[in-house]
Amino acid sequence: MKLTPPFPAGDKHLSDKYWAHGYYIQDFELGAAGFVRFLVLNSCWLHEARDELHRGVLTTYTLERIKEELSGLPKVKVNIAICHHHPHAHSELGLGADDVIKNGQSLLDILSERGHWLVVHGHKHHAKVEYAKGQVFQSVVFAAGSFSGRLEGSNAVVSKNHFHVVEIDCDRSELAGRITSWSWVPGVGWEPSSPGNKLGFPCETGFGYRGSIAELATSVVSSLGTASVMKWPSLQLNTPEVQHLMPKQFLVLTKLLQDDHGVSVLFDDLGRPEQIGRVAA
Amino acid sequence: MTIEPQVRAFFEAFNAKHQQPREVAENYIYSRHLNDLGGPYHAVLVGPRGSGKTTLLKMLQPAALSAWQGARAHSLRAQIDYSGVFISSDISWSRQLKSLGYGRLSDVNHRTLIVACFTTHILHALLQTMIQRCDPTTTFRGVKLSLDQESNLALQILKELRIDGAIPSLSSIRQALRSRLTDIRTLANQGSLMDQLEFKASLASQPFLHIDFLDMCSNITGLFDDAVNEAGAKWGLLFDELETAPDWVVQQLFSAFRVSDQKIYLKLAISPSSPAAYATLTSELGPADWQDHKQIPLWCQDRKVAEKFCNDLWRSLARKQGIAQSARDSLGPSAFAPASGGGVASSVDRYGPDGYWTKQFQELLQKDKSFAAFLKVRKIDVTQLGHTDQFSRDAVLRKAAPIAAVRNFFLHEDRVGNVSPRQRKTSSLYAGAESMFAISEGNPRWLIGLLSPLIAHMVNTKTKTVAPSVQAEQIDKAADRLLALLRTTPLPDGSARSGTGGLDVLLQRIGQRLHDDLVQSNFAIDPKLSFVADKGYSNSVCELLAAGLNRGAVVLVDESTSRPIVGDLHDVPLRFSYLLAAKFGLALRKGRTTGLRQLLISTEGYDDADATRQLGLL
Repeated sequence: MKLTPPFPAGDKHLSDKYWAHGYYIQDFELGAAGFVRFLVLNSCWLHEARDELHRGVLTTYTLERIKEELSGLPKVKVNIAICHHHPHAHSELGLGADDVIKNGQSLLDILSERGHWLVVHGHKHHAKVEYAKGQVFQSVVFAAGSFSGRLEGSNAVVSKNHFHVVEIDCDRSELAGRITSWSWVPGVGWEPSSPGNKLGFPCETGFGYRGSIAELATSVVSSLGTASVMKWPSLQLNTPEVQHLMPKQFLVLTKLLQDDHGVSVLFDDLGRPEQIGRVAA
Repeated sequence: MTIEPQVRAFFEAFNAKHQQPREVAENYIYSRHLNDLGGPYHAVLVGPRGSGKTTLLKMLQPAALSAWQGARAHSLRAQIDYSGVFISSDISWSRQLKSLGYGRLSDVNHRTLIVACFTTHILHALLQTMIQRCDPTTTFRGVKLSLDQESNLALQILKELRIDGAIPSLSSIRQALRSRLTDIRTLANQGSLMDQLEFKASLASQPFLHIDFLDMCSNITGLFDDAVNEAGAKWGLLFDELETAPDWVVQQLFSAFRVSDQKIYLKLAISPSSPAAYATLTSELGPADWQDHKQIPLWCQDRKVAEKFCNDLWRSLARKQGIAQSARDSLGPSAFAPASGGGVASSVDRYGPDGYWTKQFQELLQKDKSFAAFLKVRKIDVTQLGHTDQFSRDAVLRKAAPIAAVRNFFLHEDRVGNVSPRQRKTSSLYAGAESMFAISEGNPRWLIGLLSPLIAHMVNTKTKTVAPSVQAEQIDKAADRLLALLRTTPLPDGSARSGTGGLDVLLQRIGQRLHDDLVQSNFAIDPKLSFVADKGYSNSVCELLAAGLNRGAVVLVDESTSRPIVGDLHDVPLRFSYLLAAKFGLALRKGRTTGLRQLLISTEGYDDADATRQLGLL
């Protein structure tokens, strides 16, 4: 390629590999936390072919090369895959089902054989975080939405332009962390994301908790003890798992707390949990 | 992250309404109005849109006073012995709530529900301030409550407010009050489907709808004060934008000056034209200024104080762009500050043979016989201005100079010596630091809107001065935007019949007549620049002028503090805001007052009042 500087990697050979073989892998040292591995995928690799223009594709050739290369690499602490298209279904809001990456599930299967992965993608302009399907390790798939694209159709009512900061807890054996998000407010600027509706993306959420929500609710009530009110940061110290819940998991937790334990969660103006407590008699 | 100031809309930019207290404090430029407002008494802050009322009220909140780093911050904090509760005008109780219950509620039921919305909104703001005071970052009037203490306090407040199903915490009560507003709306909608007598009985049985806001504020602030060991502490309720409130809210608040609890100060912000406030203030049982409360008109400032504020604001804006020069050095002197003289270095004698004013006077003398006569009567020789005695300089030259500058600018002499008025496309006459400051009327939002593009121009062009033509362009743009805003003013009832037209049309007509009189009549040292709607003049014109007064298009000429709020605009002298004065080619001073009947009929043979009377015969 004649691009200067090289794209998407700063290294010319890695960039060439991306354009020639549809991917590259690059490791970065995190100091005491070990290494973070980036797998950068070109899901638009076949866009020169008219028939493949409207969806993402990972060819079996690319997948075989990825599998082979990953099997020869040492395990690292954090694995992140980046691609344009979505590797699994993302069709809510009438966003369509035909543009999913062809062989996307195969990619997720390959990744799950090599540890825990965070897969970050774009294309849909609708932010969402979910677990992938899989028998052993389920990757966390984070649809980042759009930073600056024009939002159209039903999605324009639900979504905003976003940027996110993802924090990963490197001291845990499984992939877990938090996402803090900002959204663009016309006439004002970047503000902490306020979902506004149940399909919008919250300003703070998490990923990585894979246990029982009912058991977590019991732990939360136990942390509250006999106190009538507890501030959320205090609860996070006692029950750190609550930071690693995805938005829908969190909704289920609050409902279980209310229905089964008579405990309410109080949210601030941005929809962040602020306090937890028992309703006054 | 915020948008650069220069790309924001002129009149809606820099509105403190949507800013958090800390943001307001970080950008605040001191004015002595804050001291006037902040004292231990009830107060009324009077000013048109954009005059900084919201900023001043918001500055009295504990979080803003904690964050303020200004030079006078320490002394002001020492002066304030209460906790300020900012109460924004809210759609929940503003005039827009007329439609509550789809217009199908009886007056009594409708009023009951709006009163409940109003009270709930105030209590919500009060809880917000309590939470603010408990925030560890609040240093001014900050308090520390343990979870148990807060829980106990919350339980007491929940009981007072008759709230069920909430966690015992201040945040939870605040949220419950927000939900209560929704509940009241739902109740109103349900009531619209019911028999109104039956609904009235249902409303009467719900105690939370009948809470008196002052009593309840007094009660729950007392509970808070006890919890933090500050028994008897004072609180300030800071009401913003009362011009958007229903008349009965205005009347209730202004009446409360005399009856309110001594532990609660009321600070009310309102636009200058408010019939409801005026009626209450002038009623026999109403409050009296200086006895029960203090009235603070925002347009009434000592010229030097206003100039200092403007210079401080310039410095603040310029410094952010890396510019250290003063406004005077960047924008030059003004033609309307004859003591300084226009366009000349200060070292040159302004009245000397080559001085700015000598040239202006000589040019005008060539084309204006009435000016020649004026000078002759006063025995002033334009070639000897520098030798004029001090008394004549003070009494005549300084007063005559700005008028001479305007006439010289607008009178044109052709090659054969015919003199006629001409339209000028630019307002370069109005350039210069003092003029720009005057044009802003000391209104922070206008001043920032005028100065920011000029500073941006200096940065973009890498120059140290801004040419008069560039300044003139900004003045024109700002005036056009104001006129566009005025065009959106609703027509009063009956104005279509009287043929008054919209507010912008009315003001343009008045401006044109005053300009013609200034330029085409004989030279006068004190020309007509102000106007008054004569007694009996069209009511719709007065209503339009009231709207113009509240939007800052016209200004009360009476600059004393005795009457900053007016009810009826008849017989109330007004002048154009200097922004519109520049647009219409007038001098930046108040001048002599003329009646609208004479002003408009003398040039057009048309009078609104007559038109109304004649149409009434049909």
